[in-house]
Amino acid sequence: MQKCQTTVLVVLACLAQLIAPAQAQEVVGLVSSTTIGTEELVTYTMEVSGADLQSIANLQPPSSDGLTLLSRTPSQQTSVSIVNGRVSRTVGFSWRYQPDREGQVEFAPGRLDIDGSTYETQPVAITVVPQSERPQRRPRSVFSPFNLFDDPEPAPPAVIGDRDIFIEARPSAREAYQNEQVTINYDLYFKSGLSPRNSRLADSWDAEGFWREDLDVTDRAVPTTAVLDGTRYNVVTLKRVAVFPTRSGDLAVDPLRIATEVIPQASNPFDRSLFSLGYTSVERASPTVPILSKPLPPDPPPGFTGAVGQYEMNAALSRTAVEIGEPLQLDVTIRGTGNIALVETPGINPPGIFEVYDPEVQTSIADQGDVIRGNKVFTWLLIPRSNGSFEIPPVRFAYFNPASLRYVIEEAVLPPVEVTGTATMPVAVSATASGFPVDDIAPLLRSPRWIASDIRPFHARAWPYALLALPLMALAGVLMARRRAVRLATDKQWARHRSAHPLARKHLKQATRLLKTSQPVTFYECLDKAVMSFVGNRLNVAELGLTRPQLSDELLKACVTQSVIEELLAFLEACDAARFSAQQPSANQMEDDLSLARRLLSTIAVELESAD
Amino acid sequence: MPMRPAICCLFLVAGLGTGQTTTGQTTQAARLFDTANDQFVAGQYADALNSYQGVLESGYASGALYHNMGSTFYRLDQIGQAVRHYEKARRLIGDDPQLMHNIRIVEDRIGSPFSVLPKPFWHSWWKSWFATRNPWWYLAAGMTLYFLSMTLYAQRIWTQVRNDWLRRLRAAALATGCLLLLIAGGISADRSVSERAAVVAQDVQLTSTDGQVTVPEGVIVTIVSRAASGFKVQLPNGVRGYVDEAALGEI
Repeated sequence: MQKCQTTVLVVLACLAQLIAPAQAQEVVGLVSSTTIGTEELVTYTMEVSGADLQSIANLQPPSSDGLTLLSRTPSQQTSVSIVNGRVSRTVGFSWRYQPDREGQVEFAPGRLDIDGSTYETQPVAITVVPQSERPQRRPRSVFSPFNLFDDPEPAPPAVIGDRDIFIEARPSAREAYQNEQVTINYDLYFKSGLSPRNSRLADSWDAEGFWREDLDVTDRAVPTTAVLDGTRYNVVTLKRVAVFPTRSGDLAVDPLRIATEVIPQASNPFDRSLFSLGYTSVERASPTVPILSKPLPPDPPPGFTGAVGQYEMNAALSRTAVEIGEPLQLDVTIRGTGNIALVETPGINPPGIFEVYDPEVQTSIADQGDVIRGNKVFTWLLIPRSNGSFEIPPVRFAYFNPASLRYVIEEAVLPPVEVTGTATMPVAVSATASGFPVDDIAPLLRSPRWIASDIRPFHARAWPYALLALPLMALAGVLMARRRAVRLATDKQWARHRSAHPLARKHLKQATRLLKTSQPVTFYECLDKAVMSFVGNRLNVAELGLTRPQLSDELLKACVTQSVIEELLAFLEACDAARFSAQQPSANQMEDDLSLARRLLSTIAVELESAD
Repeated sequence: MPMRPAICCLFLVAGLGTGQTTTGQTTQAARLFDTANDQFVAGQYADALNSYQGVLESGYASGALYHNMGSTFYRLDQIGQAVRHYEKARRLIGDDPQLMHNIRIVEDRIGSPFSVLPKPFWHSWWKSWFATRNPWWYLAAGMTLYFLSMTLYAQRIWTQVRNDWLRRLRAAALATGCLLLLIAGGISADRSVSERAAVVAQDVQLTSTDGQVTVPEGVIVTIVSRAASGFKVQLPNGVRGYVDEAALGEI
């Protein structure tokens, strides 16, 4: 009973699907051929999908400059198909046109109303060529019980044209940043009635300047239909590939070349014969795909190594409390979309007490969908060699996000690691020739030679320079003393001249002393000696035995004024009188004479200096 | 006879100026140094560093102290400071094999991306022959020969007696004395004039005329001049530019 109910429900569901509109409403304009002769007719079909015949009204065939509509009454076709349980209903309205001239002509959009809404077809261009140059067509079969009206589908061409079967390359973008993903779909378009088989690559395919990753393609794909330039094509995806420009500049992806065999099919089975059935080998190539690779923006953040896409990163430590020598594991996982396989190892900077081994890298890439996505796991093994609490600096990973046009820095903070246990002196597994560990620093130095840390360098002190200058000055002094001694010994006039003043001062000093002791005779002798020795030394004449007239003459020769000479002679006379007179001079008189002697010596010295 | 007091003074100055401290004065510094070494061995690197800093603050320094400070900074993962202190130690103890081993380890860790311009030919001679010697001995010897030559010149001037052997002796003493004094001054200046610095921050940006260059921590640069906002420095490959003052530690 229950089984019977289930069967009824299934049948009702199928009927409901058949009755209800199973697809969106779509109106396309198709032509029987894109190239016709001047004496041929072309059929324009307005194909309506997803609508009931009753809901269609106000049909307007497309107008055209260069084509004449033969009849405004369209022929009508209806078809219903069920594919994978989906029902599609199609209604076609066809008009026939006659060309008026050669050249390029265009169908304007046709119009119709569906449930009160107006729909338009797209414009379609065809080429009218002279009748002799028209493309060859297979002759229509003599009998075709299923083709009483005009066949809406074109007859398969006897010669396979370039537009009958071709490869279209559809890149997701024509411009991309360096290392940004561009997905290229290679689709094989072939007209209805052609049935390609044994398709294979005819040549190697390359994409120089790109890193590439093939995306998944269904092996047994069901062809879809597409209308291109007014012609309906079946479309099969041959290849899907994600390419990443590895450098900036104008790059190009090579054409994809395939060789295939096409079996021209008749529109119905009765068209076939043993002679018309055959395989035609064709080779097709997609166009080259130019892609402008833009350089990444300037000033990338530190640590950026070229990752482009959308990523996220996390990092984790296997343990946060370990004994000395126990390993712990640091896992850094980077996942997201982009050139994941090219993501380089992020830098980690654990404290130096950790022995760090090269990371193990595992990459998994999912090639489903339109973008490459996956994850990359970096696993480091860290072995602590000392105890304490240590913080491992955050792990940073920088990438460029082409969607936001910004560099992004992902950062993962790690917990501190507590290392317990007693540190033993590391035993160097391998040592250098000097006995130091190969991969670690040498032990401490324990024998310091202490110096004052704030000692002022001697080159910045004054005393070294003073010590250098002192001998030089002493040497100069020795040199001058030596020269003076030599001149004193050789130049008598200079020697007497140098001794005149000191000798006169000596006598005057002695006279002053005698004045205090009241010894007038000796006092005046000293005054006489002081004056005469001074004059004799300065004039380089022997003062002993020098008469007064001779003295006067010598002084006149030395340009001493007459008045001073007379005063000097008078003074000498007074000295003689005081020495040899019985009456002793008073103390005042002696003081006056001492002063007079000083003044005379000063005056004579000045006049002799001026005369020199 | 009159030269005897001068020579005595000279030796006295040389003896006082060597910078060597007495054992009694360094007892406390040595004790603190040993404590720091024990802390290092126990893995207490931060404490060890504080103790080493204490030795420096007490007014004493040594090549071993700077070497051990460099090792402590290395263990604390402060590579820039490690390089800086190893280079300070190098000034005092020269190319000690243990120190050079540690410098190589740190250089491997840094992985400097910059090539190194060749040094002038005399640079290695200077470093290996003189730079690590005590400048005070050169000063004392140079001054002694200088005074001797001056005395002989004075004797020559005063006595005016020609003697070929004395003439050669005077010239040799003066030339040798001046050379030793120049070497002493050079060593003194080399140790005190700070013209090099280590990058002590991570990934420092150097701004040059050609743009910005990222300089890893631990790279040694030459200070060209001091600007208002930092230092004008020269990288090992000869590129010049400006960096922030806080990013450098003078050696």
